[in-house]
Amino acid sequence: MVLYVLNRVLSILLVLLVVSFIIFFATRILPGSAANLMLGEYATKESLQALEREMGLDKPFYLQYLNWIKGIVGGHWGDSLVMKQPVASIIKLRVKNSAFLAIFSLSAVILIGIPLGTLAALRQKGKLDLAIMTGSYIGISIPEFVTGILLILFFAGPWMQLLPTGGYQELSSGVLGWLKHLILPSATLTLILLAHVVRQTRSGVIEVLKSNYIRTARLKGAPERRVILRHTLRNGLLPTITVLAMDLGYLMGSIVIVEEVFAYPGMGRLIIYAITNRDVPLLEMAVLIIAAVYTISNFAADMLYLYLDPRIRYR
Amino acid sequence: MLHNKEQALAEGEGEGKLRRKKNGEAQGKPGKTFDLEGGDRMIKKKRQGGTISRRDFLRTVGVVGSGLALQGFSPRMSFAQSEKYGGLLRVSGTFGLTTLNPMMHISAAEWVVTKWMYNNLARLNYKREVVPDLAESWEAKENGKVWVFKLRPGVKFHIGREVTAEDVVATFQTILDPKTAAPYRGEIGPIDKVEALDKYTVRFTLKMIFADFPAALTIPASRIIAREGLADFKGLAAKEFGSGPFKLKEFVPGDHVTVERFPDYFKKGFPYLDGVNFKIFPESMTEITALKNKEIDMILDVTPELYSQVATLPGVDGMAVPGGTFSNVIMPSDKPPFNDNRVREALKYTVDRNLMLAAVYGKHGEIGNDHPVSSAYAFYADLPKRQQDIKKAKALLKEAGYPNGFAFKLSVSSSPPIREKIAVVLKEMARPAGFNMEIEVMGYDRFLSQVWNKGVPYIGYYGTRPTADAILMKLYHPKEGLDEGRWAASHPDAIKLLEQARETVNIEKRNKLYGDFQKISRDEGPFIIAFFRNELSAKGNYVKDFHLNPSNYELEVDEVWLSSEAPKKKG
Repeated sequence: MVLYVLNRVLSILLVLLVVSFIIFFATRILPGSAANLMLGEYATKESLQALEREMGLDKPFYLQYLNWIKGIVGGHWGDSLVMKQPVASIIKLRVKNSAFLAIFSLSAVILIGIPLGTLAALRQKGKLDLAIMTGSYIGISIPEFVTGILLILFFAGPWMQLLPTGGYQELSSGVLGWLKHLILPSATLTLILLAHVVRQTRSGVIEVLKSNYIRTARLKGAPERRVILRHTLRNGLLPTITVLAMDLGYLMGSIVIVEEVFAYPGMGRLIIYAITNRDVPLLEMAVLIIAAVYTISNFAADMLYLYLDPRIRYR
Repeated sequence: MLHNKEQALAEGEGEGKLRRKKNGEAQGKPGKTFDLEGGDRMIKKKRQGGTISRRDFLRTVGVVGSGLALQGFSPRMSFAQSEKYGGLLRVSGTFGLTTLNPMMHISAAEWVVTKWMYNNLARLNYKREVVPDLAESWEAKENGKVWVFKLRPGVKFHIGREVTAEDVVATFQTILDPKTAAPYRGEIGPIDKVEALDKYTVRFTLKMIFADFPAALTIPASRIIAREGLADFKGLAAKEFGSGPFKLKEFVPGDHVTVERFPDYFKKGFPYLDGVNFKIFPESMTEITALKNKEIDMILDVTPELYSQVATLPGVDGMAVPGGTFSNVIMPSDKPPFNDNRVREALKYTVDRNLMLAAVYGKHGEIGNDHPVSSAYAFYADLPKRQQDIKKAKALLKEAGYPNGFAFKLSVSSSPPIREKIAVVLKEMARPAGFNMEIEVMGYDRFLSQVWNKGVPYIGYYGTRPTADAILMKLYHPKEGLDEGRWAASHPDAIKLLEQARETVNIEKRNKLYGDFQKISRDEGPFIIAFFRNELSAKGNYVKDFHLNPSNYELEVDEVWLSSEAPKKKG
């Protein structure tokens, strides 16, 4: 088991190293440098050269890369090229915002998605099953900018005005305001992610319900409640956990559109910003952090498997 | 999403509303919004025995009447001066806000917010007049080669120290230092030397006579920064060392800036507002809903597609001002086919300018004449506008040796969208004359590195400058500007006109020189400038005494105040 865990940890480090190199390489082969973009259509040859020197863009590629890796390991993440501020402080706020949104959405997805999926499985091919599956498909098939804008118009529009249209509020300046700003974006995300979880839970549960040990459990007279909660869900939810782990990574960095629609400053918008401005140190760190979230949440999923499924433990 | 400077510069403002106001109409839409303040002013005027025009009278009656009918008679007919104080003004933009360093600005959002925290020596007001700011007066010597600026004494920086000539000198030395790599270094004037003569006197020695020097000092890049701030140049990205009406309270890059009232501001009694907030809303539907809900009070830049929808919202004032922002088709004139003026003229003749404006910018603009000087500038020459004439275009092409026309590639950046729209419309307009255009759309990064200023046909984008000199030099001069059209070498006499004009102090002579240049540019120049877009903004009608500047990033809020309908007004 120790070997298994060690193996997973090493693979995380390897993934991160490869990702860092790919990103660094990719930003260098794209046309146009950060200096070029910063000066835009006002650049003169001398101002361009001065800026490139200042940014260290005139040094060889491998040196830039090694310096950067050294910095990360030593805790010096460098400064954003364009914002001229420490990358760490810029990213901190965005990670926090994204994490709030992710926790909210993921909790909603778990609390709604797993019961619905289980219900659909138990009423397989019934009317309720059909309703749940159709409903969740509608959620996933409408693009998020449509869902988002509809929610804004409805709940934040002049008729209701229950919630703010966008932006965020610090937790320190009031829990209610903080909460209000999170509701619409996480509702949008929940609608999108629900289908994954409902569908995965449903098929996982159906699969398990057919198994011999469930039949055994029923035959030995275990109450239905216990059969479902203890025997079925514990095994049927394993694939759902993987889906949720992937969703966490998605929520942390790939929800640009939702962040833009709700003017929410999270990691997604930061990455787009960093790409369009060729802000390499910022981009690198942001992508690395998202890669880390993906790998770590998958690691956590593996650990959860370990707990839920003894077969892995004894392998 | 992209933060290009031109986009920034291009953010101008609308003035239709302002002009109307100047003529004595209410700032709100008559019948839709109640301008209690305006009505009140009229009544005061009446009491003071002033004369009231018919229009004023109608307005007063209309305003008070509708107020009575819909709101009940408001006892607050007279706003005491003190009632103007307080409140937070919230402004929104769609992109930018990366640095607070005035010298390193790259987009309009940054120009807007640093205006609240800093001062220039002189500023450009909404009537496009150059007026004193930190300098209380200035004087040209040696015909305009040497300029002496007298600073206002007793002005305080936010750090508590007085603004002195040393700060001005340090600021300009920093921006002129090539190591600073300031993007707008080329636009602050041909400064050779800057010295402090005494505590309040600064002398600029220029490389040549330059009549528009004070105007050049109004651009956002030349805001005056305290020496302490310049000593930590990198730190200026997130801190401010200004003397403006507001001081920095909070800055989250890419999201928002909040500033609060500076009690020691040199304009006594100003500003009225407690603070101002600028917030980025990347999605314009969200931005507009926020304005409807009074979650924000002003939108810096409304797209032409949404303008009429926004301007007719209840409680919202649309603001439209003709500015000098344009998007130009660049025809490289140093090699075939565009080195032949007949070919350039032929392409110019294919454009139906009114239709182009309507299709691309919803009629919110002014027809252009293939030179960059709009009617918003002094020295604008009102020459006869070129009309579409396909027959003539065909004949010119035939004469130039292209009886069957020819094909060429026109490259455009996807940002801002106006470039691509112009390209698509031009392609269709020019096809009947024999121009077969292939349009290549690319990201801004690729555009900058592969197309821009590389001597190929593409579409540029320019914002309003303080003076005609600034935009003309930028576009045509091979050394002081870019000469993207590769045209200067074949037209040295025209370039000489520009050089003469900036060194000429006599207004009539300058007018003639600029007029001659605009004519040459229209008839032989390397650009098609079909129209100038209006600057379009919107605000809640409770935001009072705000004037949209034709350079809309000059968002001056010193005298702005919020009436009691404002949601964030305290008390």
